[in-house]
Amino acid sequence: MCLPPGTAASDLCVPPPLIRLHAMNSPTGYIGRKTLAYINHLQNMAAFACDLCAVLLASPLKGRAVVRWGVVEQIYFTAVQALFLIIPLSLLTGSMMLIQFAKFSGQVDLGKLMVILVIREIGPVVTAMLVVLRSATAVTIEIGYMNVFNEIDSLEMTGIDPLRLLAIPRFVGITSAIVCLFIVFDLVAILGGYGVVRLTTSIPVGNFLSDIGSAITGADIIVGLVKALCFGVVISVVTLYHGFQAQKRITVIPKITSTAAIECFFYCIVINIFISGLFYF
Amino acid sequence: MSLIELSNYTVARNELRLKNFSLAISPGQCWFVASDLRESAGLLFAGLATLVKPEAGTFYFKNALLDFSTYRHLLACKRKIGYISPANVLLSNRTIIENLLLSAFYEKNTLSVPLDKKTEEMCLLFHLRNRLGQKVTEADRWDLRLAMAVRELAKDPAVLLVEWPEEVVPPDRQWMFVNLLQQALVSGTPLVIFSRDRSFCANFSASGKIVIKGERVTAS
Repeated sequence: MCLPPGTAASDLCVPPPLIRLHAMNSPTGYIGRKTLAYINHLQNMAAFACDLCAVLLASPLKGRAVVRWGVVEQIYFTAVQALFLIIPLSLLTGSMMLIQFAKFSGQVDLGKLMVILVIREIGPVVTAMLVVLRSATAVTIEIGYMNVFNEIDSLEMTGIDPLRLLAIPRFVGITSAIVCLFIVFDLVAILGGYGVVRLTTSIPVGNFLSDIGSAITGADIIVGLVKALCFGVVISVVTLYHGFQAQKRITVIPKITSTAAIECFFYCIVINIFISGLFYF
Repeated sequence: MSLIELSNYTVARNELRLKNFSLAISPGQCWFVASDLRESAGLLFAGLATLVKPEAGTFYFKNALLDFSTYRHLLACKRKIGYISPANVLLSNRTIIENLLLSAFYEKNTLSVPLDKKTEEMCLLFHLRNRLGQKVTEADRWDLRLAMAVRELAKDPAVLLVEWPEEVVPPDRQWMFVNLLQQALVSGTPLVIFSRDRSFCANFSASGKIVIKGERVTAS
């Protein structure tokens, strides 16, 4: 092709400004911009997670006592105080499932069904959701508030790394709390649920506990624990990231809190499907 | 030898900008800041406290060029800068005493550190001794600001930045604060003061004045 003098071939591929503007306002342009912004957001979050891991792994002796103090406080807040919620919730879930599935006794293996549903799927997800609703949102608000009111800058002025003093205890605390709460949820849902149904109803549950014993495998427990661990890491990283990213305006706190909660929920569901797919298909 | 040396420095925050200024602060000097806008003075102080990343220029602290690429490189320097300002606060989820001891807890790696003598004396002086156990969220506004001032003074800073002292120290306890600042000045710690309280400023003899007009900063 013959080009006019001074015209490069690439110039011909660039549409005139009006066409470009139209393309940017079209649904395609909108989706493209949103996608790029989301990819950028994911990259920033991954960079934050790497930074957090670097601080966690470096773990110098200096400041370890204060970090441990923060971890204990976080575990108390996220795990111990949440027991009053998770125990009734797991009892209700376990007994409700037993009552529903007992109707099909003889048609289905009740023990196997409970293992599949409670240990593999519902246990980790319900525990994660409870932590997101109760503690993760609180962490985003707390860190966002500290950011808005210059507390993080002030902490830096004392020579202390805010990531180490504020983020690491919450990261370790939330992650270990989810793993512990998951174990509590499973035990209470299965044993407690069985007890509640046995004591309060005349529904035949047969050799439920021995069925569970024969149905459960090491892989089931490992999958549940891996899910809980991944949920813990994701929830803490997402909530902390949003908290630290808060601009210096109090009005952004409700927005970042709801965004963090929704993202935690979404990522947990995606990870749940991914891990289940990895282990069972 | 300058303790702080800024060359061709430009800082910006929230639509405010201080452009291309140079400044050198030496031990024992007392600088006053005059500004048309209070926020501009706040930006200068935040810049001197290394809380704002510069858009251009160099910052030498004790003859070492500061690296602003990550906040972690600045922590050691920040620890040596006393920043007394209403913008500087305590951690809200701790008690006042925990805030005062946090740095010691961190450095000494134990939670059983008593208040050092200097901090304890300052707490007595500012009538904070009986309020140390209070949670920050429950404490009085003046007590919180005084505790912040005590924390900054107790860390033996190499330089003291005092911004808007009339909002940090209540009038009845101002003379004690002035005494502490004068002691620091005599011991060679430079002061940078921004205050519109003439009686407060009258307690110090200025070595120089930093004037901020719009985006321009001039030091003389």
